[in-house]
Amino acid sequence: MTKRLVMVIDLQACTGCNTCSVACKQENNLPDGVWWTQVVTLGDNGNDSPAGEYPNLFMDYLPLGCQHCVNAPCVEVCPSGATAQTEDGLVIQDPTQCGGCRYCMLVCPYTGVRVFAGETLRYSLPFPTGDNPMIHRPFTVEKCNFCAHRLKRGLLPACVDSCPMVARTFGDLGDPNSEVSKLLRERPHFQLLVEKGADPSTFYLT
Amino acid sequence: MLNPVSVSDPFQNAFGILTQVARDRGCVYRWLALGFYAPDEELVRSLREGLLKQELTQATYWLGMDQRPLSDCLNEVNAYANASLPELQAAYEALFGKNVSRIAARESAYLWRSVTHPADAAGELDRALINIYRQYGLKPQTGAEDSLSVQLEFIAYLCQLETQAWQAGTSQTARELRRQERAFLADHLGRWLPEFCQRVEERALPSFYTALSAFAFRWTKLEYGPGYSSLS
Repeated sequence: MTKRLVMVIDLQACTGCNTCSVACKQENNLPDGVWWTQVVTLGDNGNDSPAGEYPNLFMDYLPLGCQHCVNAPCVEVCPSGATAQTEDGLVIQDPTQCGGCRYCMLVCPYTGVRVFAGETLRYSLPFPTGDNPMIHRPFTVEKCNFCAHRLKRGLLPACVDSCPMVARTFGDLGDPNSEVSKLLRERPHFQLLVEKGADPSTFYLT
Repeated sequence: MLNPVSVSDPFQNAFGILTQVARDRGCVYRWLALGFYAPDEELVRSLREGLLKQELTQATYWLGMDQRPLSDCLNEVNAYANASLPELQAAYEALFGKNVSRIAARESAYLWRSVTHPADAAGELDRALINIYRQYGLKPQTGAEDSLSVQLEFIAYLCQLETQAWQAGTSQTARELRRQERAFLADHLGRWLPEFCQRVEERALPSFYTALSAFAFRWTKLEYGPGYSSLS
C-alpha cells in the first residue's frame, strides 16, 4: 500500500493546553499573529468559552491545522506551484514560490488553517527560533507543513513531540503495523467535513 | 439507521468559488479602466447612482479583513458621487491633460528609471505590448498600448478568460491565465503604477481621480503580492 502520512488526535486525551500551538510557533519561527495550529474550543465562540447554560456547561477541544487532504483543492488551483503534494501525502506550502493570490485559502474546505501573512511581519523575540529554515514573507500564505523539515531528519512534528498528554500520533497509514493504523482500527474516529470529499489526513479519536 | 453522507467533489466546489473570484477581480480591473478613461456621462451616472461603489464593494468581498482599506478608499471615491461631468472633466484635464504639470498615465513615461535611451525603449515597449495583446487576439488603438486604462482593461480581459476556464473546469488553463495576469503586473503595470499613484497623491488637489488612484494602488498591491514597490 502507498505511504500516507497521517496525524491521529485523541480528543479524549486533549486538555486544550495549547502546548502544540506554542511548540509549532517556536519550531517554525512564526511571526506574531501567525498560527499554523490552534486548539479550538467546541462550545461557544472564543477560546475556553464553555457552551450550555449554568450549571450544565460543557467544553471540548479540537486541535486544528492543515488537514493535508488527499484530494487537496488547494494543490489543484495554485497557479505558482507553491502548494504541492508530496508522494507520502504531505501538502506543502512554499512561501518563496507563493504569489499571494490566496486561491488556496479560498478553496480550502477548512476555515482558519491558513494564514495570509500581513504587510509587516513582527517577531516577539529578536532572534529566530526553531529549526525550520523557511523564510516568512509578507503577502504570502502560510500553513502547517507537518514539520517536513523534521520528518527529513527522522523526527516527529513538533506538535506531536511536545504534547504532554500524548494526544497526537503521527505515522504511515499505508503500513498496517504502524501506531496510527492500529489506533484507527481499534478506536472510533472521524475526519472533519468528510462530506466535502477532500479526504483529510487528520483523524480524530473519540 | 445511519443516513449515508453525500460527498461532494472538492475540485468542482473549488472551481465554482474561483469562477466567482476571477469574475470579481475582472470587475475591479474593468471599473478602474473605465475610471481612468476620460470621463463621460456613464461614469457620472455610475457615481451618482452608487453603482461604482456597490459593484466594487461586492467584487472585493472575498478579501475578508483586507477589504477594509479598500472600503476606506471607496468611501473617498464615493464622496464625489454628486460630481458633474464638467467637474470631472476639469479634474481629469488638470491631471492628465495638456499642461506643464500633467501626470503621464502611460508606462513609457516611467521608463527613464531603468533605461539609458528612453525614446528607443518606448518603441520597444510598444512592440512588446502589442505582441502580448496579439497573443490574445487584441489590438488596442495605436499609440494607446501602454496607457493605464488599456493595461487595466487587458488584465480585466485575462480575468474574463480565467473565469471561463474555471467555469469549464479546465484548471490548467485557468492557472496559466492567473500566472499571465501576475506576469503582466510584474513586467508592466505593477512596475510603474506605484510611481504614478504617488505623483497623483503628491501633486493633485483632492478629486475623484486622487481617490481612484489610491484605490488602484491598494488593489494592485494586494494583487501583486510579495515584492510590490512601497513608493507610496
